[in-house]
Amino acid sequence: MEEGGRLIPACMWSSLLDERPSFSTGDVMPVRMSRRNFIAACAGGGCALPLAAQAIGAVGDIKRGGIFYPDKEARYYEKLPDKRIECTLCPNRCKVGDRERGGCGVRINREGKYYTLVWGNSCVGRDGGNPAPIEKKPLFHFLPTTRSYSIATAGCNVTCKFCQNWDISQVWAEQTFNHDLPPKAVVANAKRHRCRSIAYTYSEPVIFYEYMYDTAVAGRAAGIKSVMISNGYIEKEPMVELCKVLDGVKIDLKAFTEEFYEKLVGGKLGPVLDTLVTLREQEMWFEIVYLVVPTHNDDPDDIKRMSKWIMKELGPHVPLHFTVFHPTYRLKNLPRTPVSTVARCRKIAMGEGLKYVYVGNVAAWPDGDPGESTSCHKCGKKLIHRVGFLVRSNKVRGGKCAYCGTKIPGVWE
Amino acid sequence: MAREMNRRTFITNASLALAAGIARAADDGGESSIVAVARNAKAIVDPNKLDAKIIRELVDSAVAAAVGEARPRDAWRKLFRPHDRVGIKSNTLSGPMLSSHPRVAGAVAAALRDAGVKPGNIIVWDRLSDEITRAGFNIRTKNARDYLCMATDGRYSRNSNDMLEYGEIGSFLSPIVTRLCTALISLPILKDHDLAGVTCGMKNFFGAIHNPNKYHFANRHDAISDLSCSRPIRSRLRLTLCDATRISYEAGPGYKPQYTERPGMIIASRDPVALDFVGWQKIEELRAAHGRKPLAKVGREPKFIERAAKKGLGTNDPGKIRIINI
Ligand code: SF4
Repeated sequence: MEEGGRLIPACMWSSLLDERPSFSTGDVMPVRMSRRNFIAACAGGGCALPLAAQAIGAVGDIKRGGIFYPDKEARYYEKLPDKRIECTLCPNRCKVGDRERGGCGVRINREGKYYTLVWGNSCVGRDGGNPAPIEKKPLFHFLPTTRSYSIATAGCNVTCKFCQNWDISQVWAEQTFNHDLPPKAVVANAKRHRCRSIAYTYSEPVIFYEYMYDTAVAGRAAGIKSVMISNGYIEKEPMVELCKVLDGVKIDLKAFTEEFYEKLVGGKLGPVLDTLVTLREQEMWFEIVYLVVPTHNDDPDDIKRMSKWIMKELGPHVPLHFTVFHPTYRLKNLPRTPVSTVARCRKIAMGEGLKYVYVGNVAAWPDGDPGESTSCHKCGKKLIHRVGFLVRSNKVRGGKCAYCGTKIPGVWE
Repeated sequence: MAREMNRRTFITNASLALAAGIARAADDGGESSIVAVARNAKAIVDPNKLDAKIIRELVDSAVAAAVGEARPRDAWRKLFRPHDRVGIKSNTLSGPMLSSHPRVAGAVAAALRDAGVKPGNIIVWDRLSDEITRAGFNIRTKNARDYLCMATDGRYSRNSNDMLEYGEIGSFLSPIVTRLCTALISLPILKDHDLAGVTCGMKNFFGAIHNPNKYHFANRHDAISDLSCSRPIRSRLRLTLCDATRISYEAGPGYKPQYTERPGMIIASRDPVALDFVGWQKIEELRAAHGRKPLAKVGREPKFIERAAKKGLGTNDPGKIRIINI
């Protein structure tokens, strides 16, 4: 008999919770409040204010494991014999028996009908979302300096061993603190926080597709844009439909080898490349992020092959971000990626002809890393000076270079 | 074929076993694992009602036989000490018609109390409050006269989960396992499973982790066996007691009346691998009787059983499994 594994106590986990969005963890009361409790809470003084705020609806109802809309039918699935179904939303194409869930854990088959359990159930932030700089997504060519109201639900359709948000992405909706936040409430919150867009992010928006779609529709009606921050692991038909209501997309291209996807992601590379091509065909604005994991996907040959592929299939103007990995979740035996590695990746990609290649998570204070800023692909002048998520100056005017007038690819004011 | 035994030879052999002190033959250097199958069709009163008295008899006789004791109370005492906190992991995914039955859990809890375990130290549990409630249990986390009942979602939060890394497994284990219980009983049901082939004692522990669906993608057989072989589970698991009062042989894990038989059976063993192996054979028998192909022919052979055997958790060798029919 082998030893039987390693049990890592929760107290050790909590020290690892860095660089993440603010989650709903019960710091707001996880229960609905009666009128009497509300009055008592108000009478209680300052410390009761969050309770009072919640009771009057300033923040949505929140409760751990709360599934507020359990009967929202999933949009993409096919019925099979014996009340089984095949989910056709993502390339996993889960065949799910009656009473079972698909691989993402947040879709359930009940009596041969498939349901999403996360519609209206955002599980982050104090009011169900976080107003965050769009640069944090990162989207560098999308309304710079604006804020994006960022929401997420439990669940994911892959199992990255280096996931930063594993405690919402790798769990069920019963295990997160959820807000009762239907699409209109998301839009209202976004407006209240003066956000120009809503970002579907943190976990994997593909698995809360219906929620994202309905929110994007409501947002558009209210003049608020929508951006999806995704692994791109989605089937073509739902992606094409989604393009009709989104304004921007960021895709995590996690590596350029099937081996990496198989071993560290629990998915396949091919469908992600297909999604990128679909986005180009649909003329959707998108940027690519490549998290450089030391020894796993930092081979210069792979970076070169990937850059050539992007040049050929997507063109030279797609922004590509090489970001620094830090040890987390199930990949804690590796060091942080050296800044020199992401700089080398950037150099290779630019050498292949890509025009907008960035580095991220490099913390180069006070002036920023040159790889964080945007320069005009024609005249080479610096247009957007960034330090981390901070924009120091912006010389893009009406979508054009302020110096030479060249049109800069992206979504601008 | 595993060797089978009738009631008379069981009683004779149980006495001999007691005398020879070979309660768990495989453990004690002997060659066999005992799987006791107690059956009484009268246990089924109607499709979802069980006769409490008969169930208690079945549970007691199966456990006594599995442990090799003539008297049930001695068998329970041999397995559990009065100070143990015993978690009874039920399987309640499929609703009231095809879940571990409250009457069976009740009989197990009563037997434990008779053996000296306090009601507050007997915990019937499963993954989701919703499911365990739907299966007919009442959640109660204190002041119980018979046993406590809870689900892992009630205690899941990022500060109260312990991460298990072992083989294919990278999951949070329920704090009910890691923090509450000193001993475990797996109380599965016996049913066909569209991905794993068979759901029985080992697969039941998928309800103890936070991300079972992740293992639906690939290597699920490895994950099932690895979880049962992991230290937190195997060091606590003292008994697998399968509620096979109802058995589903096709289109599981959901309840399908057309594929469900009601033999009124309880299967017990201290060897989780041997019990799953015997359970699998029962499903194959029912499949054959209803003109269904063997699971291996439809690509659903429960390979996790063999893998767990290879890892030394128990035996899947029919020649080393002694089946005692009661
Ligand atoms: S969205 Fe979920 S259920 Fe559907 S195929 Fe993907 S992982 Fe499976």
